Amino acid sequence: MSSEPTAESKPKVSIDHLFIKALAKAGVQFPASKAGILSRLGETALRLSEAETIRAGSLVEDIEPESFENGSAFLCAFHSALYRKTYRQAFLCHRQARQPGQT
Amino acid sequence: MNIGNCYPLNGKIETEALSVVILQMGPALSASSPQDVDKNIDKVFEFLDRASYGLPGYDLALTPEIVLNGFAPEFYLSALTLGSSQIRRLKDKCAALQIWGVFGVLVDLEDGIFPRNCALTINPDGEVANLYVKTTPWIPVEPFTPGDEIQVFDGPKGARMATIICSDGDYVDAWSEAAHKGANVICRISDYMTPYQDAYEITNRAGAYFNRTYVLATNSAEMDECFCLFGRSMVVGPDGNVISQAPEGQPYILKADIYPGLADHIQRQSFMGNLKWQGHHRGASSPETGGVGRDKSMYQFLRNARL
Repeated sequence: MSSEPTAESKPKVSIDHLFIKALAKAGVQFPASKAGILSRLGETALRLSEAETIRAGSLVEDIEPESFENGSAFLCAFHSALYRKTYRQAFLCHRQARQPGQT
Repeated sequence: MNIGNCYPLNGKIETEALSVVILQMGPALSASSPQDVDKNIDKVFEFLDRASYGLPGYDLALTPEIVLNGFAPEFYLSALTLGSSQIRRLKDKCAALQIWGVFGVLVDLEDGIFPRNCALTINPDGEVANLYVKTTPWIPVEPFTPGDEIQVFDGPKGARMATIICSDGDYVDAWSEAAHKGANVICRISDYMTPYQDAYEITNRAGAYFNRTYVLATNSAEMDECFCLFGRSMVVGPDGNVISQAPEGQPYILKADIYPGLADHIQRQSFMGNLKWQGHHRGASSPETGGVGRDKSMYQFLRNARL
């Protein structure tokens, strides 16, 4: 039996890592606006794995604030949107799936 | 230079290099008159001249707190007026060497009020760039009238400077006020004695770390009438790490190059560690707070502070 990892089983690269690389390549500096960042990112794609890519701009479109006075402000807003889009729903489903009495 | 945090520092950094000389010394004598002060000025000038030979081209020199006066029993008689010949000598020296100088001096503002403990900053044109009055004198010992403002002013090579004095640095307020007003370099001149060696280092590093500024800390050395001044002057980077430090207790000329534009860049471009911003936007990464977070109104000590 082969122990070689498949394309699906290979660990994904951190979205944070790829996204920050994309920001640097696009020359994003702060303070910045959401529109300005989207413009700079354009159609930049992040390769999360051999089988999956995601458009960097799609991660920015969901961010709520329209402007960011510094890098910390931006990344906090980015993570807030990311967690709201991906992990929060999974967390709520997990809670609903738990049977009474289970921790 | 800068250790950083879990994320890279975004973007391209533009900065000038600010060459700093910290004079760790004691006064020649504890002055009881303006004429005594002249002898202390002579000693400071000796150090400045030595630095000009051994470390030529430096931009900024700092002396310890009240190095021009010392703490004689009649110290208040040695307070200088801003129009005095002694202040004139300091101006002329800074112009002659083309340097910025921060001098610790007792000042009589000729308003009938007890002298102030001051940091006098003079620019290379021989003009007073800033006069800072110590806002939190070391009580119950220091009898000086406190000042009421932490000031930030333009210094050399991109530095936006604040000067604070000794015990000012024991209070988070002084550091925070300077940072709030945009300082990227905070000069702390001190006349700090044993047993506060560790507290001195802790507060210098915390001031730099919490506010992402450089801290230039100069302390007295040797002994006076009653105290052992421990020295340990230091230059601290914006992530709280000591860039350079003088030894304990002895006269010393500490030199370091700092990069004010780097502090600005860290404050603006860092993805993590902008504690000023983050403290006012608690939980901003949570999916529940919309990327903005919550403010500091939860803190009772801020709400109930008696001003």
